[in-house]
This record gives sequence, structure tokens and C-alpha cells, in this order.
Amino acid sequence: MSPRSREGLYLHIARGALLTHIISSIEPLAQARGQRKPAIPTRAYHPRVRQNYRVIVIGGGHAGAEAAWAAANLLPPQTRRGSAEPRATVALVTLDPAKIGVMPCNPAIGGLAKGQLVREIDALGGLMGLAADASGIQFKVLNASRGAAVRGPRCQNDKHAYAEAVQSLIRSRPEIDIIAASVEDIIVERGCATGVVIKAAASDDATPLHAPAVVLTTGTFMRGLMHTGRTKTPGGRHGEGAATGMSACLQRLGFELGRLKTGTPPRLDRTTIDWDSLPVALGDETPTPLSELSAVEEGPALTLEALLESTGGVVGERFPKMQQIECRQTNTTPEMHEVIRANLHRAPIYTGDIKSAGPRYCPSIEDKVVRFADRPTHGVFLEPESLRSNWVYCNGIATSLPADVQELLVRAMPGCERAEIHRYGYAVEYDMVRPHQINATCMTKPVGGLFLAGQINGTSGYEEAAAQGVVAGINAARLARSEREWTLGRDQAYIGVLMDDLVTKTPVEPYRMFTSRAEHRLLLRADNAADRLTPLARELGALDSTDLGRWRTQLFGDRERALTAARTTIARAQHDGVSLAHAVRQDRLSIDQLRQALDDAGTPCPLPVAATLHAEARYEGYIRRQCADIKRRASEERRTLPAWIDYRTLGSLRTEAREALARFRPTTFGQASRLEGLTPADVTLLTVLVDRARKNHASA
Amino acid sequence: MHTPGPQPRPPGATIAETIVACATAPGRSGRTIVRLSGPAVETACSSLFQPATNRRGVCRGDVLIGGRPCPAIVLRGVGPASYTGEDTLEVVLPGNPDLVERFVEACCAVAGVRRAGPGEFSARAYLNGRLALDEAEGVAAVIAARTSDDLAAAQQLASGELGRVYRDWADELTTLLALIEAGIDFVDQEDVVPILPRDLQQRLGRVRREMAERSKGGIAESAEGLPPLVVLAGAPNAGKSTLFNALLGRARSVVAAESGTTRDVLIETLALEEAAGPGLAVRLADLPGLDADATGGAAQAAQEAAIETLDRADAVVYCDPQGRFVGLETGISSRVPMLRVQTKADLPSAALLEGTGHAPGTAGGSSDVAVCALDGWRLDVVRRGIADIALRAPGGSCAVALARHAREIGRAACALEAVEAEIDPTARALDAPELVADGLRSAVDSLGQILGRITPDDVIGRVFATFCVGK
Repeated sequence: MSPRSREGLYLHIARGALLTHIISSIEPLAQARGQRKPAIPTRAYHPRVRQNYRVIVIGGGHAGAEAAWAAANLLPPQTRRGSAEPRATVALVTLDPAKIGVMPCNPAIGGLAKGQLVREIDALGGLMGLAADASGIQFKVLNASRGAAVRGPRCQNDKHAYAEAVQSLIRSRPEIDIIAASVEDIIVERGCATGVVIKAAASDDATPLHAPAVVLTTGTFMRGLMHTGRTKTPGGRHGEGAATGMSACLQRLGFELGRLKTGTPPRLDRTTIDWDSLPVALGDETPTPLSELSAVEEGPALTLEALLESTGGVVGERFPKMQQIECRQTNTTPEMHEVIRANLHRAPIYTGDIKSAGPRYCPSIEDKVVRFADRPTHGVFLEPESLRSNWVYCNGIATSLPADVQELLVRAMPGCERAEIHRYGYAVEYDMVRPHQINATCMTKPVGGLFLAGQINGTSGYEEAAAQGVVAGINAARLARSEREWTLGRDQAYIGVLMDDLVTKTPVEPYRMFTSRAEHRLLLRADNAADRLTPLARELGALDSTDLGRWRTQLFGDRERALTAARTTIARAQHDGVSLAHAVRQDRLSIDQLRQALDDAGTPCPLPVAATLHAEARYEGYIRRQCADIKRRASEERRTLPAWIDYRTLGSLRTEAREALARFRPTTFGQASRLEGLTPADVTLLTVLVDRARKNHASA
Repeated sequence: MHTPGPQPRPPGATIAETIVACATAPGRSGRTIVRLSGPAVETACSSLFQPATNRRGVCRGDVLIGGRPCPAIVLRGVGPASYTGEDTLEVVLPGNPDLVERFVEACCAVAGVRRAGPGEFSARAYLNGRLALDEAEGVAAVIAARTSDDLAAAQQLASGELGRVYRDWADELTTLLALIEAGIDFVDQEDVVPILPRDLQQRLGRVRREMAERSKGGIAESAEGLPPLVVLAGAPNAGKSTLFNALLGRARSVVAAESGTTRDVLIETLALEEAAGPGLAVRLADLPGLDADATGGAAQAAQEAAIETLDRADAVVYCDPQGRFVGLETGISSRVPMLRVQTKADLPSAALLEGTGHAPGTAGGSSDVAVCALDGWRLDVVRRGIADIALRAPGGSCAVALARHAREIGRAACALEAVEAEIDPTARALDAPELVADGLRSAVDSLGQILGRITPDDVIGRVFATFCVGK
């Protein structure tokens, strides 16, 4: 189906005309499901459940797009009897399809720890890396002078090109129907989500839409309220409305909600900035792509034209695809700080208008001026947002001060004396669902089949949202296929660290990933994301049904062969009287030198392979120790805790431990050991109590 | 779910059960205290005590042992304000080992009561939030302190003072880790100035030296990391080797009817997990019989080896088939706990009181237990006795508790040493901060084994408190 006719389809669906047609042509549940017992016992399958789709994703942000994409990877389109056209399996419901994949804050993907997340999403067959590479206008590896484990690939994007790339990719998938509608309610039958009630934008008719799995990604839209000074506007993003009914719906379903705040800086008009007078901030000379699939040569199994065609023109072109740009640096000044101090009484975070917690790692400029009063200046990066506009993002001065104050403070920065503001900075408050109510699959504990991903779980950042989208999308699809739940461990991926932190910690601020959160940081590197996760994606079957997946499989095979060959060489070939591996360990060989030496020894390998070998050799002893550590803890880490256990009856546990367990209901002893309020002794005691409860349970 | 018999379990295994143990040193004494803790205390109190009482505080009366009354003083504590945080009962009895043993057995006959594992009372106090982990370990250490240095260290531990020392280290290391992590995770923030390698090395060195000092001069040394040495001693042909083999469950030592068969000191590890809880083991030594008249090369060498081993003993099992137990004490420090075992209990003996296996109070004292190693009669009691004296040995449970600390602090110091080697103090920035952080994190984790986990959030929190982060 061409993009154009698909567009026609979703507009058609948006008017609700197709729905009745779809509902009337429901097949009975897939045959395959009949034989096996559902792996997730909380899910009660209705034999004749109406099913329009197999997965419904609500929201088209970074979490929603990735969730729909991941689900589509596992749910090939279904061919109906008597119809040539395959039917979509995934519905992506969003208020405005033109806003799918937009970047409402910093137009950049990756960075420290976030770059690792993007590489992991990519290794699992995700879309974020592809869209980022296709729209990157400045690539830079952060911490490039440091070790491989703490390098973070990052790119700044043309924000319009990025959203278009995401939309093209989504539209290239026959598995996904895009539906422009608002969601009025979640349909819950026998404790399980079985669909949603949607209302098309221009219509008053509420229509039910059914699927055995629903992924909810509300971003900042749930009761979103934007602040600029004392001006309050309901909405999740500038110029858009808020989702007003969803909070109440979730509360009705028994969820405990919280409220968070985030903010964004003003955007300036580049033509009004004295651009050339400011110091230049350049990207890397040789850009490093975020996806394994960008910047590789044509393979025998697939031509670039075929790939271009099958991905709506996003993948398969030269890298970098877009013209690269320069950024500029400026800074705040004491005069500017004075302006801010003089107007603090008009800043919502100090007037008490905003009560919810914002991120400590991303403070507003008024926050910085108050908390670090002794600093005369803070750095500010001026980052062009797009090649096709003159909008500039002011990285470093997020603010919710009134518009007139923003004018003053922007003009107090060097080079910005005559700057015009395109859009004022604002803070946004929004509802979240406290994440102790989900488990590490993103599925909620109280309502089976309902998955939450992204900012709704209290995280911040496009990459964190997308990572949860992958987890939710995969698990939603697996639920629809009656397969077991799928999770990643803390020792496998940053995604695993993220999910584990969400289900064991009480968020006090929007959660952002840092490399220091990963205790196995030396193993979880950007360079080896494919080695860690692509085999898992293959096991899942996520790479089987698309050209992209097949191409990824092929490239990964090449990589594995190159790694195997070079690993033998690196241990044997000599450099100055020691093995290559030894020379790397002693820091005597750079990646390029290692690559050259491998080439000389007759096992040439691509740069990414050499980078992985270099990191493996450099960290060898440390990695061995971490692996031993992981192995030692593995049995306790993965040992499950029964879902039926009533912690309130375990009287011998300390009250604090009992309450933490009852609230979080961890699914493994590993999770339990990381709960706040549990000591190692509590966990030991818990193992005994659970064993006993299991015996009683079995005999009862 | 009931397992048969009153078997000791690991500390903290299930605190729905009531535990009982003799709280004073084994052997004869004027008074002995038996302590109970747990929910069945009330039942035990009303079924074993006359007149029936359940008052808090001190009370005089009789305890019923085998249906016969025996005068006793009872001290009743009510949870959660008691030492263990549970209902407790302390019974002061005449210090007769057999009487005490029979009373403990009578307690175990009450539903829900079993023998306590070593340290289990303190473990409960800990689990019930009455003691911090380091304090709980300190209590055990005070009881077992061998020297005045040990005692001082143990008291520091019990009062939480040592905990404060550990906490200071953990605090400094967490701060340093935060400074390093800031230089990794927030390097794109110009406000973040990574810590200078020179400063880092100095501050790390300070902590490491303190750790080394502590583990050298203080308590940690008494723990050599080896299980306590328990020596089987007695006259030649006293049946020591037979008992040794029976305890080990295999024929390790040559056994013969002639006296003086054993010529070498044999040391084997004896696991006492069943008798006393997980992880408890002793080194059990079989000695050549002590014979002052031995002459001649080999025999004399054997005597010297035996005496040398006896000097090192943490506890002694005195074997005497006659049940007289004379002559050995002179060679052994009075501080070394001793279990008097009447061996060869199948043989008739003039000293043996009928049926009880209990010797009359002769000059040398009487047996704590009679055993027949050949058919295994009362072997379990001997095992329990050995566990008991080993734990009460000077430094015994001090070693158990403090060895853990020493081990963890040793590990932390080790990790820090490796970290220091990674740092080039002349450099302007750390060359491999991720490796330095890795080592520092293992040191922090080791301390966390004593103090409770230090999480990445603790570290990140310090970054935000220190730096203006955020673009």
C-alpha cells in the first residue's frame, strides 16, 4: 500500500466509518491461542472477544511510536479470507497524526546513557536510531576521550525532519493503522483491558475499539497545565490541548496518580542573534550513527533501493543524510541573574503555582540562580532546531518566568542583545501513574492487558520513553499471542536498569538515565548493544517479518563472524613483544591502531568491530569480575515471588519491609532486595517466609 | 508444616517460633540462666512454672522438670520492649548441666518451642529493629572478648561507635564516588569540574590507611579467618580417636585397643550446621594421649606436638572414660572453655551414676555428657556441646561476627588500593574514571554489607547537591 492510500485509510478510520465494518468482520481468536494455556494467568480470555486489533497504542510520542513499531514487528498483518489486502494488527490512536514523533523540547537524541538506550532500542529492531540518523544535523560522541563504557553518542536533529522520519517509518508498516481520535475511556472486562472508547476529532460519536492489549502513553498530556508567569494554559505541549478524562478514568480503575513538572527554554530567531560573534560548537569530524543500519554498505540480500522503498525513504541513503550545522555558545550574565532575582515573585515555582517536583538535573534558570547564587554565569548553547527554519533552541535557560521577563533575560546574554523570541519558555505540569503499579513488562498490576510507557511512568526524556515503548510494545504483542512475558535484566541492558528502577523506586522527580545507575556499566556499552540484544530480538521473532529486520539479521551475522575471527587474532598476534589484547590493556594501542594491527595480521574488521574488541580487551579483568558477580547473584535475582502472597499476613517481617513489599509487589527476589526499606536481613527472612507460604498454598 | 524434633535453625529463619537456650557458660556453676523468646513464652510459662504466672517482671517459684518441681527465679519480659522485641522468659536454675539440659528439653516439648541457633537471640533483636546489625554483632563480641583490646573493640561495636567509624568511611567514599560520577555523567555541563586526580588519591589513601589501621590494631585481627580450634584431649587410650572418627563420620584416625596409637596431631574441619546453624564449623584436632611419663624420640615428639596444639586450642573436649577429669586442667588456661565427655559409656564404670550418664562431683569435676562413640549414643549432644564451647571460646563468636567485618573492610581496602594504582596524581583529569568508579563502587558495596546498601541514587543525590547541573 502506498503512503498516500494509507493516509486515506486513517482519515477514513478517523471518521469512524470503517469501525463498524471492522467490528462486524472479526475473526474468532487466532487458532494458535486455543491449544496453549495463557502464560499470564491474570488474563482471562473471552472466547468471543470482539477484536479489531491485536494491540492498541494510545499516543504517538516517542513511547507510543516505538511501542506501535515494536508490536508491529511481532504481529505481521493478517490476511482475511476473501480479501487480498492484509489487515493491520496495531492501532496507533493519537489526537493529531501530524504530531507523531515531534520533539517538544531539545531537538536531540542520545547523549550520556541515553545514547546507550538508543543503541539498545536499535539493536532490538526499534525505530528511534533510524529516525535520528536520518534527521541528524550535528553528531557528537560525548566523553569521546574517555573509556568505551562512558561514551555516549548523541545527535542534534532537524526537529521537522525527525518527526517526518518517524511518521514515514510508521506509515511504511502495513501492520499499523493510524487513527486520529481522542480516547474517552478504557474498556475493562473481568479485570482486564479489552479496548478503548475513542472519539474522532470532528465527531461526537464515541466508538469502542477492541484489542487484548492496550498501551497507554500520555506524555505530558494528562491534565497537562502550562505555565508562563501567572498565565496558565491547559495543554500538554505548546498549542495543543490536554487529555482531561484519562486521569479520572485511571483513578476509577484504582490507580494512584502523581504529578510532575518539566520545562522548556525560549526559542529565539536566529536572524536576530549576532551569530558570527559567538564561539562555535562543532560536532565530530566523522559522525557516528546511532543505528547499526545507517552508514553500511549494500549487502547481497537487500539493495539500498529496496530498503529506501520499504522504509518510506528513511533508511538506506548516505550517512549523514542531512547537511551538518554548527551551534554557538553564549552564557548567562550577572545582569541577567539580577533580572531573574528581581522577578522571582512572578516565577510559578516560587509563587507556589507549581507544586509538583521537577527534575534536579534539568533545573530552570531561576532555580539555578537561586540554588547556586555564588555563580556569576552559566553556559548556554544555541542550537538550531531545523534546516528549514531559523528557530534556535536556548539550551540552558529553561524557564517559566513571565513573557516580559523572558525578553529581558534573553537580551542580557552576549550575542543576543537584539534577539527576538519565537516562543516563550514554559513549564508544564502533568499527571503520572506511580510506577510501583506496573511490573517490569510495563503491564499494570491491577489491570491485565493495560500497559503504560513513557512519561506516564514518571520518566523524562525521549530515549527513556522510547525504551519503555519497546518493552511495552513487545509485551503487548506477546500477550496478544499468548506468550510469556519478556523482560531485560540490569546486567543485560540500560533498558533493564530503567525498568527495574521504575518498579523498585519511589520517584521524587522525573526519572532520567545516567550511566552511574548501571552497576554493570562496563558491560552495557553503546558499542556492543547489538551483541547484547540483537540475538534476543531474533529469538523474539522481531526481525523476521520485515526487510529491515532481515537486513539487520544479515549485518549482525557479518559482525559476529568478524568478531569471532578477530578475537582469535587479538589473543595471538604480537605487538612489541606482547599480545594485542595485552597491549590494549596497557593502553598502548588506540582503536585505530588495533584495527590496523588486526588488518596486518590478516583479519581486517570494520571500525565498530574494532571498537568492541578494544573495549573488551581494555576492560577484560573488570568484565570477568562483573560476570562472576552477576552469575553469583543470578539465582536470587531471577527467583520469582508468587503474585498471590499477602504480605500483610507476614507478621514476622518488620512493618517497614512489609509495607514496602505490599506496595511494590515485586516479582522477583532481585527486585525485592532493591526496594527502599528492605534490609538484606529482611530479604533472607522473606525467602524463608515465602517458602513456607508456598507449601501452605500448595497444600491448601 | 512441622519438622520433627526441636532442631536448631539458621538465625532469623522463622521468628514465629519460640527459641530456647542456656544463656550462661556450659558446665557447672552456681546458677544457670535459660532464656526463651517468642510467642509461645506465655504457654511455656503457664505449663512449666508453679504457681502459674504470667506477670511481667521477677517471680519466684518452681519449674517442673519431668514432673518434679525445682526452685527457680523467673524473669518475664514482654515484647516489643524486651531485648529481642518479643515476649521473653529468663529462668534462673541451679547450675547443674543435666538439670539444665532436661529443662531445655522440657521447654522444647511445649508446642512451638525449639532450640536456638547460635546468636539467634541477637538475630531476633536485629530483625525486630531492636539492634542495628553492627550492634548485634557487637553483643556477641562482648560475650566472647578474649583480651581487653577485644573487649574495648566489641564495646565500641555494641555501642554503635564502630558503626559510626564505618559510616564515616562510607560517607567519604560515597562523596568521592559522586565527584567521579559527576565527571562522567555530567561532563557536558560546564559547571561540573571533575575532581583532581591528586585530591582523589589523597582522600582515598586517607580512608584506606584508616581501614588498614583498624583491621590491624583492632578487633579484626583476632579473626584469622579460620574456624575455632577444638581439641580432643585426654589420657592415652581414652577413646579420643574413636570419638574423632565418629564425629567426622569417617575413619580418619587409626583406632586400636592399645594405648598410644595416635602419634600425630590430626586436624579436620567439622561442620556443625545441623547442631548449631549454617556456616558454623570448627577445626577438630585429635591429639596423642597426654602422658607425662612418655619418653623416647617419637613418643616425646608426639607429646610436644600435643601440648603445642593444646596451647593453641580455642576450646577443649576433655575425654575420660572414667568420668574423673583430673590432671588436665593444670595445663590449660581457665579461660578456655571445656566440654567434659565421658567416653566409652557402654563400659561399666565405678564413677557412673546409674542411668544418667552423670558422674558424682569428685575433685576433678563431673562429665557434661556421656557418649558411646561406637554406637553413636548421644553423639548429637556432643556435637551441640562442641558448637556451644566453640562459640563461647574467647574470640569464638567475636571471630564469627567480626571476621565478617574484617573480611568486608579488607575487601574494601583492597579495592581502594587497586583504585589508587589507577590514578596518576600528576594528570589533570582521570584517565579512566569508569574504572576508578568501578573500584570505588566495590569498596562502597563492601561497606554496604555491614551498613546496608548504598544505592546509585545516594550517589546521584550528592552530585545534585554539589553541582549546578542542567543545561
